[in-house]
Amino acid sequence: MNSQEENDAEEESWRNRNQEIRTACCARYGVPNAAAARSYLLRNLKRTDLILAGRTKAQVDETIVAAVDKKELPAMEPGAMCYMMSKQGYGGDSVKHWPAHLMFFYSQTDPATWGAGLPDSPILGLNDTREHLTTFAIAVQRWSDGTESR
Amino acid sequence: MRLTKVSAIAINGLALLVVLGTTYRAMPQDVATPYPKMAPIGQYLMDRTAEIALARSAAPESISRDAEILVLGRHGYETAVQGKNGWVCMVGRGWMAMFDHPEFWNPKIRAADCLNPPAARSVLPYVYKRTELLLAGHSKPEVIAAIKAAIDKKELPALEQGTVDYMMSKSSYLTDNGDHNGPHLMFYETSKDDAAWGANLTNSPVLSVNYWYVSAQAYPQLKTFPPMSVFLVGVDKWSDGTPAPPM
Repeated sequence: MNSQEENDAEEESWRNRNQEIRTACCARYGVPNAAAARSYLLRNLKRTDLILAGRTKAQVDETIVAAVDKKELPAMEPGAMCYMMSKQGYGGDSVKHWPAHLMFFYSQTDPATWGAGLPDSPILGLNDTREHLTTFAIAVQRWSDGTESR
Repeated sequence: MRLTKVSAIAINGLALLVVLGTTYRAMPQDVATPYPKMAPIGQYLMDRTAEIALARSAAPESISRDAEILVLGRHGYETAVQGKNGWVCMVGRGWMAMFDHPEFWNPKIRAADCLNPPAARSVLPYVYKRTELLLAGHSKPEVIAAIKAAIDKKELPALEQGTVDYMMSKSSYLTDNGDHNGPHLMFYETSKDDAAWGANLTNSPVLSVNYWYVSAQAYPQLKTFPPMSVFLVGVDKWSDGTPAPPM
């Protein structure tokens, strides 16, 4: 497979996965999680618009990164967080049903600051250096309807 | 963790005090407490080696092995072990609770904490000040006034963003009530509002309390303090990786 074929395969794979993924994120409007709606959510809305307009994954990433760099998309606001506690979410082929969890969004923070990803830490951290976005996730014990999630 | 089960909480500056059976908003303020005054200082002290071990157990070993470790002395907290990673682990006592909390003077409280660097820099100075003044024999109103003066003079720092406090020790004693303990993380925020993180709502996994007071009726000056909320998220395992019972 040449590089173009590899790119095409990745693109196809990316689109196919996207057809199934349903992750419910509830960024509350209010104080201060208007912060999440005003910062994190805007990136997702823009990403969605680009995907629905038929852009490739590379084009979407490039456009988002450029918008962040030009400050057309804002930095994360303090206290931005998100509930992901739906029983019905579909997180992707590798982890179809994510456990109930909370997510917290920061502008480019060292995940080690929260002890994320260390052995036995309850916190996971993802660092997207291109988007200057650090995401922390903490599993919680119940789904949004109050039933136990483990 | 649900309010319907863990139906009453009070989080001190560094500890979760879980009170089963009532709502924390309905908790009596500084009344009918079984601990109306400070016990003899010796009742709050621990064997140094045991205190170091308990402090370390607040967080997974991957964090606490390189943390600075504090122990309580007769005049305040002292560094027992120098750290390398910016984290600080310690054992909180009851007086880190809100000033009007019924277990403020409970000598049995042993609340193990590991604070990340932003929390160590911006929360611990309040802990040191409060502890030193109380151990020196000052009354609660005197301590409150001294902290307020220090805030006004900027001798105490503003709260930093991104604070996290691990409280995952199996061996903590957080309250006389319920199971006395439960693993959780705490986050300090300048928000005044529980709704900021959807806290204290039905089926929300987030609990929130005011850092300074339950009601402030007993100590109205606390209402003039910079707003600080403590948000709490229960986790499903202890610091050693073993599963914890559902909360």
